[in-house]
Amino acid sequence: MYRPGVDDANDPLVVEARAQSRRDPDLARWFEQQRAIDAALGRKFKQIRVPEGLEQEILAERKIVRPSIWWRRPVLLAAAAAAVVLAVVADYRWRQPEPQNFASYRQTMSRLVSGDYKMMLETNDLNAVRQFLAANHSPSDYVLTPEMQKLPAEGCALINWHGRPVSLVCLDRGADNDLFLFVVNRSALPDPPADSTPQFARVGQMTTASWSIGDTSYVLASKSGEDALRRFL
Amino acid sequence: MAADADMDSSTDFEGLVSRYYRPLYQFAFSLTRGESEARDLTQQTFLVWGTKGHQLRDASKVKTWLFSTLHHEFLKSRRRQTRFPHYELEQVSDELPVVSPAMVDQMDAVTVVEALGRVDDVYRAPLALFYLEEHSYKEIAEILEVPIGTVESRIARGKAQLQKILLNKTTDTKERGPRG
Repeated sequence: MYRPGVDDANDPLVVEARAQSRRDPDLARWFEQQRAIDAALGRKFKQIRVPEGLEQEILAERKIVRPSIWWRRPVLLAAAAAAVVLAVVADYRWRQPEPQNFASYRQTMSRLVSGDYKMMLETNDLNAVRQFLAANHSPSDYVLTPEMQKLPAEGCALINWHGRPVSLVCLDRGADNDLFLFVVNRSALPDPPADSTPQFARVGQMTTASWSIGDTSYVLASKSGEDALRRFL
Repeated sequence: MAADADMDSSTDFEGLVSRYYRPLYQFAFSLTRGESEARDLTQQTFLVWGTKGHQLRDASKVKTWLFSTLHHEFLKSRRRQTRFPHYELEQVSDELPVVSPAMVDQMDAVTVVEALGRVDDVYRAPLALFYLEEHSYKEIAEILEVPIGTVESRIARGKAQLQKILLNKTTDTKERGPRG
């Protein structure tokens, strides 16, 4: 039964049926009657009451997977697991109307850890993080400062920024002070940080430090302030 | 880049929820007839989107993907998926009973959904998708992963069953007369 505006009016079967109904008044009447019944039934289905607050519940449910809750499972569990938890990539190929420069990259990465995303690996083992990233062809030859190496990992994720892999390494500082280290090949950025001297910038609620060493560019982000970040550089 | 921008706007989570939670819930309710289960199915659908939606590369398929996922979740919850016979449309075209639009207008949505619940399982999902008018036959076929001819025949058969049930319901009500 053809529905104007919903079904394909050019479907050969529809075209033929409509032509036939134009020639046959009885068929045309039957067709109109069925359409009227369908419309009446359709109205009933659309009257199905949707529970109040469902939309908010769905959105709230989504927020459960935000790092402040989802990600902060007991460290022991994470250490024992050392395995892929969810094959979910914060795939920013879908979010690419932004310019492809360093400022945009830094902003996108900062927003990523401020909003909805999930870890692919939960572990407090930094070696496991590196191995996982290497196995998934994401930058893994990053250099952690001695102070960073003292922190346990919380996990990592693979990110795709304009087709280029970015590694996210999360270091556990407790409470809401985690460090998020984004690692990307320098060539992915048209204007990467020039050298190893960290450049600080505030992006939303995150403070970031950015630098480059060799072929690799880093962005370290945290909700802690600049002073806190400096202690890990 | 334009395609990416489209993808961005059509896959934004809050935007997706806002746009589709109502028809998804109505579809779920049509299948389950229970608010609680329909609510769970709708939420589950968006949770699945959160974990697997990134695999979808074609923004134009988001709507179909969501309805298809809900249907899969429904089938999973029933833990059965039966193969159903394929009826040709010609077999059923003469079987449609006469239910008038006025008759339908006098019913409430709950009555119609209850009647749908008495329709054979195999017809219920295509019929609900058809009446919610969110999808073309082609899209319904994609959602249910069956050939379009099967969708057409299931809808035709389902309509016949539904209208028959509604007609009987009306007749029963008239014969019983008002309570008291």
